[in-house]
Amino acid sequence: MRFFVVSLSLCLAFPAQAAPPILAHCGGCGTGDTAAKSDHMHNKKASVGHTAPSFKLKDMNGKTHSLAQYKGKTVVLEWFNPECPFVVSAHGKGGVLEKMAKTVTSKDTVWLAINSGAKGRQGHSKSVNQSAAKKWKMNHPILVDADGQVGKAYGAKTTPHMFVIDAKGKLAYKGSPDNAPSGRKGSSYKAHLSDALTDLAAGKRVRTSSTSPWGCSVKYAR
Amino acid sequence: MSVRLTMIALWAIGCTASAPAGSEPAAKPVVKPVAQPSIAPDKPERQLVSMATRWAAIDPGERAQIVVELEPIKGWHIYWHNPGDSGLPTSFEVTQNGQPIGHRVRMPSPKRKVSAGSIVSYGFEGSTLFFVEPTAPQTEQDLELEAVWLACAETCVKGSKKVRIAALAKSQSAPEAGDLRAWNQLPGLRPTRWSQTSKGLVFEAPAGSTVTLYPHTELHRRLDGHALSYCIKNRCELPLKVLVDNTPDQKLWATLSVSTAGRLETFETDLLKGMSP
Repeated sequence: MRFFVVSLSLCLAFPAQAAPPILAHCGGCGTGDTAAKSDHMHNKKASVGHTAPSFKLKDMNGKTHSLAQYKGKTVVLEWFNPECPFVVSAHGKGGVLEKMAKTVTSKDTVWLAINSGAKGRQGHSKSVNQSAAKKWKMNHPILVDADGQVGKAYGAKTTPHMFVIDAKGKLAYKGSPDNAPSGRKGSSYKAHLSDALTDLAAGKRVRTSSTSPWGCSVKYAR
Repeated sequence: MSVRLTMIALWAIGCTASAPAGSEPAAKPVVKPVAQPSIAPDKPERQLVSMATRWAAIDPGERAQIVVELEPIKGWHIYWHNPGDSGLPTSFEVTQNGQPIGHRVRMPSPKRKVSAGSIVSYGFEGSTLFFVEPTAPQTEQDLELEAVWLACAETCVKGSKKVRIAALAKSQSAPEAGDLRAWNQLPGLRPTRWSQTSKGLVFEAPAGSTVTLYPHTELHRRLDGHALSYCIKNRCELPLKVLVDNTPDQKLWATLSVSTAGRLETFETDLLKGMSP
């Protein structure tokens, strides 16, 4: 019952929400006010084949990263929550993301984790993120998006939700790392993210450019 | 007429409109309930979700039916076969002698939740009955049934439990009234007429009714998981992009609930099958 009441109240609340302001750190989100009018609009902007929303975020060490600075490179964005069991599983031994960032990172490819968890919600704290980064030997930065605006601009729903931006700044892939959320790789296994990166590296169009994400919900501010 | 015969008749009637909760609903109904198994869980119950096998029927050479109750603790939920934007479908695996057995799973219609960030989830709170229907099991041998779920509140915890269902001779016992009621409330299978307009794909229920749409996995993916409900009062309108990249044998399933004057009808439908130009 509570589930339903919450659902109903949220359903009623969303259409009435005032449009959020233009994202201060999202200058390339779109062409003006309409770019940030609503989540619905955000989803439209972060669509495959179109220019990816730009952003400027600080990592856990306070260093600023902007999408613009990586122009000319393939950029992989991984929505991250170190306490989500799917993320734990994906980064753990044998997990789909255990080695992938190290494998694909090169002079032409950058991997950025983004944590859109709000303060007080699961996986937000700096210590938890730093501990996870150390445990999983992550060499790439974890960017802090505590107000969730970059996550919403991309339509990031889950952790891990993956986005790949090509060297021209266009979104080339969005979806899941693979089709095995439980970690069980059956005969129909598809390595969606790896396949997309392989296609891009070969200069080809990404054959499967959109898949359904799996994982925990991104812990946006309520 | 005995309770048992009444129950069989009701099941048979209900079966004619039945459909599975998976991505490929099938019109063919099931089973006559003939056996009451004993259940032997091989692990202690998990803390977040309790599991009980309430009743099972095994008919030689036909589908069997196992009624499984999953109940997350208060404040937690588990997921429908289309979990939505996050989560994991509740799933079942049936084996016999270590070999997997084909089966379908029928679930009630879910509750829809929209969380911060317009994240749409479809799931269940509280006691929920799942109807697992293995195909042609050997009736003289035990079955093993494993349920796998993801229980979520602020955090999510994966869980599973395996139970053994002993092969039994025929039994006179019958499902409880609540089980039967739940079974009769499962979404049936029904064609619907959708019209393609310049703006979208439109379905209209009778005036005065209220429609709720629960997209199955493929339709949800094509809708890109928007928090929009797509239905207002008796009218649903889906964007034309759901029709992009259709293959000749494409199916786009959804569960629709139509409420009219306090009467609720829930059914599964293939949008493409009922389309008109």
